[in-house]
Amino acid sequence: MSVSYQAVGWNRQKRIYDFILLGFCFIYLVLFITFTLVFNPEATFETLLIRSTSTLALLLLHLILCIGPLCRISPKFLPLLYNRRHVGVTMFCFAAVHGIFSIIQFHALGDINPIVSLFTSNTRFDAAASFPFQALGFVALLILFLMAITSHDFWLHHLTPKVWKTLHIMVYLAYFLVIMHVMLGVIQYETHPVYIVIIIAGTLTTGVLHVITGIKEHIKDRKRFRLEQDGFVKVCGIDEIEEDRAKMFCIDNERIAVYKTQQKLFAVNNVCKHQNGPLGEGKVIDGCITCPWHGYQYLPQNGSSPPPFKEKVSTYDVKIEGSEVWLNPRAYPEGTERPGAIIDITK
Amino acid sequence: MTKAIRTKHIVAWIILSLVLPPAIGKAIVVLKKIERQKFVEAESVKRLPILVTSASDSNYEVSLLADTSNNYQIEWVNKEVPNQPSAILYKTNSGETPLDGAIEIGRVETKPVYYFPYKIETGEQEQRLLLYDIIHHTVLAKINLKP
Repeated sequence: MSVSYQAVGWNRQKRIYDFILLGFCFIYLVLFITFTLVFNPEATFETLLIRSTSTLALLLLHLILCIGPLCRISPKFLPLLYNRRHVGVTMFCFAAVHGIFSIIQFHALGDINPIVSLFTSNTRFDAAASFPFQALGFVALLILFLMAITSHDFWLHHLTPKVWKTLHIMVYLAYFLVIMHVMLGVIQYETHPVYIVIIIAGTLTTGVLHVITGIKEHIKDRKRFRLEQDGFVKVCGIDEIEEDRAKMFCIDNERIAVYKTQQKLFAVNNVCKHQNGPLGEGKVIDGCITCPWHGYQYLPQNGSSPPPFKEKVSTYDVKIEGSEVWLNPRAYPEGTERPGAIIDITK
Repeated sequence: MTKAIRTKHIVAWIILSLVLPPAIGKAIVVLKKIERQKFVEAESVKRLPILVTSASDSNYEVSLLADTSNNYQIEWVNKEVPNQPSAILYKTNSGETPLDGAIEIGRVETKPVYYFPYKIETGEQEQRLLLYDIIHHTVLAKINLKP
């Protein structure tokens, strides 16, 4: 969370995160190059460079795609999400090294512009075995490039979260293009079944994780709250909400987080203004609702970020009857102060 | 996430789950169209002593070698540094491209000499080889080895 834009808002967690990330990449590259030289001593420097960076980028892409659903399944994975965009930019850098050196290696020796050569040297779009797979990789690299250069909060703010998120959903198109780039490219020449098994295992794991979490989220949204009283809906018992934590309810297609803190209940919109993170899965830290994704904070009573920050979310009325929590799904304008519902501990 | 963005994610994965499996399946199916054999590294192979026949060009010289036990070998000599980074040498019967029932002999890159094990079927006289650029999908050389 930062009041002004910096290239990277470094803190201790981000340094640790990036240290582990770069350490992992370094170890992977060393192992890949070592094993390749052991099993194929004839491999050239160009081949080692192109293949080590491409496989690392593919591995990181799968990791990036799995982080989201893993965090939905268990909050233990949330630390992975904290700096996911650094993984994304790192992945793009390795993919770019692969792409640039491949273009130099395979297309820069002739008298045609290398990019023109990439698209015109093979036009057998009708034959799967000879399909121009390099074009698929090139288009995927362009998408990843767009995502990498807009990954900063500056672009998130100026493009608006809606446009930014829509742009970044294009990662799925890039993923499809990358998988087909691999299947119609190197897999056609390196036909050992283990490579095919690895690719299928990767896509299957990623797909299944997304389907499971998609169903889980759909079930949350489908839960109906029918008991209404003066616009209030009965949502749960007081004891079902832990201290300094929240429970999330989807009413009229809107997710609302009801927080219990300092002997009161407060209700705020579940969607963080930063990257649409789920506020209801965060906790109260230093008196502020803290988003589990990137630590953006909001005051429970008015949904505003503490000064000098300016983010605001909608607030809602909440009341207690007996041991039951009632919620009014009519949203107040963002940042509106609400008294909350006092929990009578004598009862 | 807002409901709209959740819906976009779900739609994206529905499309991916419909499109990816058949696309991957198709890529696996077409693998079988090319008969392959293991590439043998030059250092691990001894040059067979009998020269059966050879052919040459300004860029390469290719020889069919044999020994007394009817084992055969192809010797590929790069006279010049090849322009293509990687090409595959195929044995072909009548086809013009490697997909027409050709058999892979080995990969030719930038080293000066390559040796590949080679099989001659009974009754075969002429040996037709094809050097194919696997990146640009172009035939680089057609070679006929006549005893």
